[in-house]
Amino acid sequence: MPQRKDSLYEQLNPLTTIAGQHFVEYFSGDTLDNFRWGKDTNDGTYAMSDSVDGGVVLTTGSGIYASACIGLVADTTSGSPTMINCFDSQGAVIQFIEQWGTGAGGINASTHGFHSERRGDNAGNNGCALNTSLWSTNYRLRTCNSSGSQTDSDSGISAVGGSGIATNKNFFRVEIQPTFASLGINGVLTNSHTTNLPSGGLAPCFGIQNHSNNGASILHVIYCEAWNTA
Amino acid sequence: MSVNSQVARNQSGQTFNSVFESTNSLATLFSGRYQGGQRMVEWFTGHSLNTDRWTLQNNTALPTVSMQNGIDGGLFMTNTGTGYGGSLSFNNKRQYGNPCSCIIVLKNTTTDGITYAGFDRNGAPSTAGGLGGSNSTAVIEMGGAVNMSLVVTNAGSGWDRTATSIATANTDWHCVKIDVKTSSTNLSIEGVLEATRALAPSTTMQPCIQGRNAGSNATTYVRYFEAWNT
Repeated sequence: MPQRKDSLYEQLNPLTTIAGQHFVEYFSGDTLDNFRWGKDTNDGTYAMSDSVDGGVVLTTGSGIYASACIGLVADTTSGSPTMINCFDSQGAVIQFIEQWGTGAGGINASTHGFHSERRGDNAGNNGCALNTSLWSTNYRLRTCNSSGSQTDSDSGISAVGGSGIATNKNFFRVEIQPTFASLGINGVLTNSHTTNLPSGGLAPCFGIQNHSNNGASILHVIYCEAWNTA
Repeated sequence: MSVNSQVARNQSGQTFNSVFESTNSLATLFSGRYQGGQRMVEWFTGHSLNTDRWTLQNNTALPTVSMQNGIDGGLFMTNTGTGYGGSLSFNNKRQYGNPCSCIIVLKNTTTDGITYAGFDRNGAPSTAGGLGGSNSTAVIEMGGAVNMSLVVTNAGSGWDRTATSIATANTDWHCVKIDVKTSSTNLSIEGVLEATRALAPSTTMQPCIQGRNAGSNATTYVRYFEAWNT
């Protein structure tokens, strides 16, 4: 049998260890935790789902490049604000459960994982995040370095289903280390790469950027946990 | 290490069905009546302090707090007030009582500013007849000439300080555990039992982090606080 401990802390770390930053977000409640998460309120909308395993629902506007994004920085109506970057690009893990909603109008880009800025386009400086978009049939891991140069690596796992994005639920794990970044999907390590890695601090970010004018894009985020490993 | 992966690593790959089961004893679960109690886990990860949970308490001056945009930064609290300073508390919602425990990851970075953290009846560790009258306390005292110590009071008893082996200025992060037992109180730092006192608070209490100016402002960082009734 697994071993019970007095505390959650002791399940995660021995008491001899001074634990680094760590958090768990269940996305369960009446509203999004607005002390923790801030939103891009320009044209995105955000609501807790009234459905089984629905989590929080991010919905873009219907126009091209309309975004919906949450991260560790207060609400703003524009821009890509720097977040509270308490996670370490030299060693950190973020894992999350997500499900794309129906009615995706075509996703230009998306950010699921770590970034230093809250943004839905998975661009900018210092990021390490899953990217799902209409430009690739597979889930991809993207890193951005401190000058905005990017590397994408392909998971080999299709993100396509029906007439658009796959709407099945998935468990993703993104890990950043000093010399590589990796992506795992549903418990299997799928891909990694070693170039254009971020530096400095990072924070959890979930964002989507719409592409076509055929409707809004919708993402459910159901669980998120992140911690430093360095 | 995440909740699930750490638990899985423990033994045989078997995991707990729930976080609850990972931290409660078999005796608690199956003794014929439920004997466990309230638990709270605060990760201090977000763009701002969750003031639905924590109250900024003005004892002699209101503390100021901010989430730190830095790796493992947690929450930063500054206290300018002398005397009883200011606190983070549960606004006198006293959900914890003998026996109970807490684990806190924190540091005090000014030796002339003193930090107290643990359990307190009034959210402000104080001497007998001090703030709020008869008080009960089980806290670590960090900073000042007596850094670091265990301080215990019970229902207005005198300020009772027990020294640890860390008796000089120390501004490092620490993992602190306080165990309030039936008739004694223990303080462990990094898993080492540093102080034990044959005295325990008997009244109900609340989680508390207090800072006071004792020559300079108190500056306290905290990135984890778990409290539970045992």
